[in-house]
Formats: sequence, structure tokens, C-alpha cells
Amino acid sequence: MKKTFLIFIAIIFVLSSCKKTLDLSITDAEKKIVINGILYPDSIVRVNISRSLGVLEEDSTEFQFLNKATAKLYENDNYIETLVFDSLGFYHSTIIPDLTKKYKLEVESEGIEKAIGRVEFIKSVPFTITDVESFVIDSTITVSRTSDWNEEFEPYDTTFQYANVNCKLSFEDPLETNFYVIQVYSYCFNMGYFESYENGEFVLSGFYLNNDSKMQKIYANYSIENNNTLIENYTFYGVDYDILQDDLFNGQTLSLNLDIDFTTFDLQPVYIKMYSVPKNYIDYSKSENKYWQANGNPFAQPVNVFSNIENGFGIFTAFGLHEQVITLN
Amino acid sequence: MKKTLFIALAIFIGFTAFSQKYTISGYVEDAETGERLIGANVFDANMLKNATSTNVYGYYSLTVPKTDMILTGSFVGYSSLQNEFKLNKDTVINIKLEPSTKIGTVVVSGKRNNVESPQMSTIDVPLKTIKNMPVLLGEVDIMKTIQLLPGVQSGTEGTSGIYVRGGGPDQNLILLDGVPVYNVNHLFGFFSVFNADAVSNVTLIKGGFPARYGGRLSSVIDIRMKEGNMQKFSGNVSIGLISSKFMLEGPIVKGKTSFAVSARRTYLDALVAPGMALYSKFNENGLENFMAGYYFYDMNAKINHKFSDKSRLYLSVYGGNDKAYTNIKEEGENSSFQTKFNLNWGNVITALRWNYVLSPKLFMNTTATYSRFNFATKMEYSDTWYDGDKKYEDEFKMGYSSGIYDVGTKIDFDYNPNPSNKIRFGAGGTFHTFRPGVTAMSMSGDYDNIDTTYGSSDLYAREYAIYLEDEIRLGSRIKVNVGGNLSFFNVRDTTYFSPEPRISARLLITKNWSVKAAYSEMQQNLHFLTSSTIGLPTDLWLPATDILAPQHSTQYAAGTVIRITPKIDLTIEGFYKEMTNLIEYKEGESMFASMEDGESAGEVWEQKVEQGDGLAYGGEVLLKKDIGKLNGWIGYTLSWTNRTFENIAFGETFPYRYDRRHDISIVMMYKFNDRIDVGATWVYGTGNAVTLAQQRYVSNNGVNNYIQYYNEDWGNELQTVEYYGKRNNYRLPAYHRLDLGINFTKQRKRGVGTWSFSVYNAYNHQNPFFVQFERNWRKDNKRELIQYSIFPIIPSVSYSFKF
Repeated sequence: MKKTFLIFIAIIFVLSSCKKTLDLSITDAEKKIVINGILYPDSIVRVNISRSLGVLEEDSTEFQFLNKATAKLYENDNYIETLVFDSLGFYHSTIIPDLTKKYKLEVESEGIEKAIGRVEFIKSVPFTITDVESFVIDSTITVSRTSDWNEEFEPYDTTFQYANVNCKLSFEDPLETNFYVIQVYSYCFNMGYFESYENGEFVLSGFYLNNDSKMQKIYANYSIENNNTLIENYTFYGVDYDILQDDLFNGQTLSLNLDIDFTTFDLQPVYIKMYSVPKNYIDYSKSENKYWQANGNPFAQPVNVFSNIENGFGIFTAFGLHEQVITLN
Repeated sequence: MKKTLFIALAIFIGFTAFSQKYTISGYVEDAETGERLIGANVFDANMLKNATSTNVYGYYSLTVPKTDMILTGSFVGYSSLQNEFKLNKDTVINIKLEPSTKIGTVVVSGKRNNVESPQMSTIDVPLKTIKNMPVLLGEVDIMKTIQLLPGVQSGTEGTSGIYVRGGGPDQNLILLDGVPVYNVNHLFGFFSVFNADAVSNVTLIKGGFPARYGGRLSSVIDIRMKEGNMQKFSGNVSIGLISSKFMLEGPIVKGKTSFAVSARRTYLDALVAPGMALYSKFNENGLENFMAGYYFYDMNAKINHKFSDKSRLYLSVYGGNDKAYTNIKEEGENSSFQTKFNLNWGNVITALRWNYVLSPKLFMNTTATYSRFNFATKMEYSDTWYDGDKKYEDEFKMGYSSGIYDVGTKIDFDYNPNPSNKIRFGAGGTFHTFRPGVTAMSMSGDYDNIDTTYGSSDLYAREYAIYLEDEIRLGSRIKVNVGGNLSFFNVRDTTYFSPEPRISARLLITKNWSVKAAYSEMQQNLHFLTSSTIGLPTDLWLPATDILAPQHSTQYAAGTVIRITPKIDLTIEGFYKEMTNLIEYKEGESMFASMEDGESAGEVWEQKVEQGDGLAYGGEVLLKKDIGKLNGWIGYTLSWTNRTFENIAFGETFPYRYDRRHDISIVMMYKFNDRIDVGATWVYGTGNAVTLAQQRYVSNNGVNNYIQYYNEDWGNELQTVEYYGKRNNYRLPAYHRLDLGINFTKQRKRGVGTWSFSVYNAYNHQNPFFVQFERNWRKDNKRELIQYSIFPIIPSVSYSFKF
């Protein structure tokens, strides 16, 4: 018994020596203001303002979003207005920025040093859509319940469409270095399905609708066929987007064949947006993508997400935007 | 600067090459075994300036005017031998030194007279000390002993990686009988591949590199294997907690041909096998056969044959392998499945050398070498089931291999025209084959039938080097080693050409005090792609390419050596080393990230790394006593090591991970009598630099995501990203550890038996292995920084028998 006890003590001693909590001397790192905002043509300025947390500080949404900050907007270094708080750290302007002017946002909050964001619009690049071909397949399903199992529900039949659109997107690339992001979406009910387990296999047993009273923006799957384009694909929270770099077509006309697949109700139109994106947003986007790739990988080198905020964190920038709509028949 | 040095070299050689009269030459050998002694001193006791030392083959040559000579040979651990005669013709004398058995009672000289030698930053690693030191799990480890010397940092706790004067683990030219060894790790770096029983000599050079060495930036570790006893059979058997080993040596033809062979194997796999069997028998998952294990082995063999006093042939072979495996088999009523997984990695190294004395003044060595490091992993899965009489079978196999394969030749000459010049020159060529990673996959059955191979194709490179150096005595006080190494590296139609001047000089202030200075440039045409802090076999050796330039270093060193007493040397050195074209993974990149992406690491490795610069500087102190009842050393290093990469940490200079401000090691051995000796090692080092987050904040995408999925009832989690600031911005707690050991030796009828007891980390200090932020659910899910340690106090015992 004595021997067993000694062995037990020895094991406890060995195991307990493997892990301990360290006192961290960097907990008091100075907190910074975080400004996140992207400006679009013909839209008011809307930014989110929060503050950074210490590495050991507890997550606290209310504490993190700065709802009592002062955000002063300057146009070509002339003060024009203080942004108005709306909710969850968001502040907005009353004016729509002039695309030809430079803007500066100074944000102050009690106990934290002032942070500054500067922004300059880049030109929108118009594009045309031609050679549109499409086909639509109707499908009827029985919606048997909502996403809430317990909710009483009267099953009903509904029809939705699988749609495919092929088209050509063309634009003239300006001479300077440019980056583009293409977004394709339509509107659809958010539909899910559920399965049951029968005879050792999962079988489809019904459909349900989330938020069945309104349709939502659903990003379409699309592919680009063009060998003459540098495209980098990024994924963030499940949404894919492509960044086109003009290294191989700088100053030329580029035509891209888009092959778009999506699901819709009542033949909603397809919206195609092409953002002209500044280099600072590309740096931010790439670095954040890298950040999440490396996150949790003990062998990967850590990544600092790019920021263009003076004395703070975040990204404050402006996109050019051109949009086209394809209506399905 | 380079041109000036080459001209100076030519002038020195021209002035000093023609004034000799008679040459006395030969080998210095162990009288009992015939083993040739490397670095033994040979001098004329009547005229001390007529002195030399043996080369790595035990050969010496001394050309002096006609004289009455007292030729003296000395070597640490041996009684000095004097031979008085009149030198009036070319003479060959092989000096046979008797090992001294009464420590401290016979006249012995230091193995390398560090006061006298012009070479600086060089340490002969005392093998006898290594074998008596307390060690982890009873495994004597040469690399871990080298870690205890000043200027050398250890890496992650317990591992064998070494970091010399701010360099990386790849920047050490580790030579086993003159052949580069690419992977020195067993068990992910916790043990090195060198079996101390098979080794006769280890020399570490950290700076002031002689021109004969090239190809790495930071150090040379020259390891020589035992040649084999020419006179009688002898050996050693040792049993430890995790491995057993033996060494046997003896004559094949007495006085002509001898061999030495040694082998080691771990038996962790055998020890855990019964437990595995029990688990398989009693577990509830129906696994009928579950086996997993790990082992490593290595073996060294060497044969040498003496054709004549002038001609000798050596064949040395090293082979070592690590293997980890699992095998799971499950049998059902109508089905069965089996999965197998194997990891295999290891080196094979071969050297065939021929020594020939062309004339008493000119010694030649020709070497043909082969070195291979290979890593392979294999996974197999098979699933069989029956539907009535019909049999269905799915099979999936995948294998991945990477490695480096070298074939090389070289020729070296030692020319000793007079006591004032010791000239070495030679040339060599190596053909490298790099395999950055190839995957073979086959599937059959229910899957699509696939049988394919993909990955990077092999890369080939040719590397050539020529060198010339001269150790020149200028008067009685100044000695200079000056030379140059010229290397050519050709890969993918790109050729890199690198002239590398080297010079080191010594000024003798008094008989026991000298000051030294050295300048050396080194080029490294190989890169090492590693994303871990331990020695993973997935680390890749890859060549400099047209995209990634070779690494280059320039090192300045200055120092002094004082012989405080005949037994104690004090060495103080300072160094300043600039390194260019170092590689680091880009932010966010790693080998494993690429595998997750379904890529072979080798395919895109050039795009995954950044090149930048490094700077290291500091000072080292070594107080060393090699002989006597009490021996050992105290080493201290004060150093700074930084890196600057344009695209890492916004181009700001950041500390290297192993930037260690203070590094102290105290190694002491005391021999009470022939039966009992004790040893103690204490090490202290400033904590490693690691990158830890300083703050967290919500990014633009984080805000969008929060809003998109926000629910009034449940809210939503606000995803934050961490801000790190500079790379390696945080210091782990300091590392320190005490190891103790005691050896009981007893003369037996047929040999000497030794029980060795040691305690690693005697005061159980929790040294950091790694740290990470975690949430503690016991404390309201608060975030904490947690340190993990892997080696608590570890006692061990081993028994060895020498016959």
C-alpha cells in the first residue's frame, strides 16, 4: 500500500509539473481606437468604432463598441461635421462624400488616444454585360415546418428555381494598378432541409424555411473563364470572393465569361457588382485571410492584420462601384 | 578586401616556402590500440619553435635544419614521449603514446595548445567528459554537450538543435568522417544520431574558419569515428532505460587491418507492446488488433587497412533510422477494415578515404562520399465486406517522401615545407539531388480507380569548391592562418560564385598569453525550410535557386587566451557577424498550412519564404580544465541576435527566437578514485523570444459578420483578431536546470563494469517548452497564458561493461 501511494505521489508530481499559468507583463498594453469603414459612391459615410482589448481582457461587446465616441469628419482638411451614433458602435454622416475630395476622420474617446483615418476615392470602372444566356429549372417542394421544431406549421407546396446564367463582363482597365472584386447575388428564401435516419442511412425527409416571411441576399456561385487574369480567391466566413489584379491586362479591355449558378424564388434578378478596390484594402484583405489560415496552427508564423489607421487599428477606405442587373425571363 | 587577402597569401607563401633541410614525419598513435591521434602536439624540446600538430589522420611533418633533436609527442590523457636523436636526414618516426592511467600524476599537455594556435573560436570537445556527464534518460549525447559550450545556444528544451553565434540550426556543417550529415536528430530532436562510443574526436569551430571548410555560415562540427583497435579486440556494452548499445573493435589482420562497429536501438516499442496487446484484448470497440510504436536505431562501422606506412584506406559507414507506426485492424461478422500508418526517416552516410604520403612533406587524402537523408510516410486503408457470397473491397494507399542525396569527391593536401608554413589545399565537388516532396496515391474498389504520383520534381545542383590556406609563423610571436575558399554552385541554369577570404592571427604576448583576431566570409548554398522549433523530419533541405539567393555571412572575431595554470585555460572572445539572404516563412505560412491546402510543400516553397538579414554580436568566456581529478568548464555568453525582413513585422528589426542575452553553463566532474566519479551540470539561459498577441480587436469583416448574424435574443459572438506587433516580442521565463550524476566503476574479471545514475533537472524546475493563451473554465472561462513544460525531474540508470 505504501509503495502504491508513493508511486501515485510520483505520478501526480510528474504530471503537475507539466503545466502552469504565467503572469503576463503585457496585459497593460495601451488600448487603441478601432475604425472600420468602407465608403461607397453615392452613399453616406458609415463607420464602426470600437476599442481594442487586452489579450487577457474578457470579451465584452458593449464595452468594446464605443458608443460615446466623437468622430469628426474633415473634407480636404476642413471640418465639415461630427458623425452621428446609430447603434452597436456605428456612426454615420449626413452628407454624401464628394468623390473628388479627400476625407479625414478623427475619432476620440475618453481615456484613449485619438485615432485618425484618411480616405480618398478611387474611380469606379464601368462594365458591360453582353451575350447573356440562361436556363431555369422549376422545382416544387413541400415545406413541412419552420426551423423551429416546436412551432406549429401547416405544410405547403412551393416552387423555386435553379438558375444558370452565362454572360460576358467587359471593361476597360485604367492605366494605373487596379484591383477589382466582383460580387454576384440574387434574392431567395433561406431554405434548409432535414434528414431522418432510416435503415442505417440518412434520408431527406423535408424542407423548412428560415425567416420565411422575407427573402435574403444570397451570393451566387460563379466561375470566371479567362486565362489572362490574375485572380486570387479568398474565403471569409463562408463567403467566397475573387480579387482580380490587373498585372496582366493593365490598360487593356478585359472580357470575362461568368458562369453563375443560383437558387431563387419567383425569378429574382441577378445583381452583378464590380468594386474598384484600393491597395490598402487588398493588403487588409490578404493579411486577414492569412491570419485566419494561420490561426490555431502552432507551426505557422503569426500574422498582423493590415491597418491604415494612424494610432489605431482597422481599415478606413473607399471603393469605386459599378452595378448591372440581369433580369431572367 | 578579398583581393588584398589573396595577394597577401601568395606573397607569404612565396617568401617562406624554401628554407628547409630535413623532414621528420610520421603518425602519432595510441600505443595500445593503434588509433591515430588527431591534434597531438609534436615538437622539438630543444627548440620549441619547431613544433607542429597532427592532422585529422594523425599525421605530422616537421622540416627543420640539421639539429640535435628531442622529438616530443604529447596528447591529453597520454604520457608524453620523448625521442632524442641527431637529425641529419629525412626521418620517419611513428610516435606511440601510452594512455596515462593515473590522472594528474603524469606530464600531459593540452590537446590543442590554445595559447599557441592561431585558430580562434575552436574548442575540442572532451569525449571522456561527455561520457561521464549526467544526461537525459541515460543517453550520452554529443550535440547536447556542444550546447553547453559558450557561443552555442540550445533550442527548445531537450532537443539537440544548436544555434551558434546567432545562426540557425541549418548553418552548422556537421561532418562525420568528412561527410556532411543533414539530419542529426532522433525522436524529433530529443536525441542526436551520434553514438559517443563510436566517436574518437569532436571539434567545434564557431568563427575564424580555416579555408578548408565551407558551405555553412555559423559553425563546423568535425566528428571523427574510431578507426578500430589494431592490436586486440575490445568493446563496450551498455544497457539504459530506453536503449541499449554496443561497440566492438579489433584487428582483422593484426597491425594491418582493423574494424570498429557499433550499434544502438531503443526499445520503447517493445516495452509498450504488452500494454497494447492488453488494450486490444479488453477494449470495447471491437478492435482486435491495435499496435503502435516508435523506435530508432543507428549503427556505425569502419574498416581501415594499412597498405604501408605511406598508404592507408578507410571505409566508414553510418546508417540510422527512426520509425513510428500504427496498425489497427477490426474484424466484424461480415466485414473487416485495416489501417496502417508509418513514418520513416533516417540517414545513410558513407566515406571511402585513401591517405597517401606523397613525400615526407606532402600528405594527400582522397575521399569519395555519399550522404542521404530520406523522410517517408505511408498510409494504407483497406475495407472489406461481404453481401452474401459477394466480396467488396476498397483500398487506399498514400505515400509521401522527401529528402536530399549527395554524391561527392574531394582531394586534400597537407604540405609542410618548413616549421614556419603549414599549407593546406584541395578541391571537391558534390552532386546534390533534392526531393522537395513527392506523393504517390492509389485507390481502388468503390472509389474511382486512381494510381498517380504528384508533387515537386527533383531538383539537381552541382557544388564545387577549391581552397588554399597557410599557417604562417612570422617571428616568434605572430602566427597567421590565411587563405581562401572559392565555391561554385549551379542550379536551374543559375550559377553562384563565391570567393570567401579567411584570415586569423595570433600574437603571443607571453608564453601563456596570446591575443587573436579573425575575419571570415562564408557562403551557404543550401536553405533549410522548417516551421517548428523541434527537429521534425518534415523539415526540408532545399537549394539556393534563381529566386532565392545563397546565404552569406561575414564574421569578425577577436579574443585572448590565457593559460592561468598548466591545467586551466581562460578564453575570452568577442564576435560580430552579419548574415544576408536568410530565409523565414512568410507571415501565416507553414509547411502544415500548405498540406492542409492539399499542396505539396515543395511545389510552392520558394513563394512561401522571405529573405532577409541577420546580425549577431556578443562576447564569450570559457574557463576550462581538461585534466586532473576535477575537470570541466564554466562558460558564459552575452549576445544579441536580430533579424530584419522587409515583409515581416512591417520591416522592423526583431529579435531572433534564440536571441539569448545571457547563457551560462557550468560543467564539473570529480573523480574520487578509480571506482567513483561524480558529475554536475548547471545551465541558465535568458528565455526564448516568442511572438504573443498584445491586443485584440474587431476587424471590418468581424463587424460585418457580427451584424449579419446578430440576433436580438441571442446577440452574436464578436470575433476578434489578435495584434502581435513585432515578431518575437515576448520573453519566456529564464531557463535553468541542474543535472547530477554518479558513476560506480568496478574492475571485473573480464573487463570494467560501470553503473551510472543520473538525475536530469534535479530541482524539478518547470522550464517552458511552449506557451499559449487558453480559456480556463474553472475561472469563468477567463483567458490565461499557460506554459507547458515537458521534462520534470527525471532519474535514470544505465549499466555499461567495457572489455
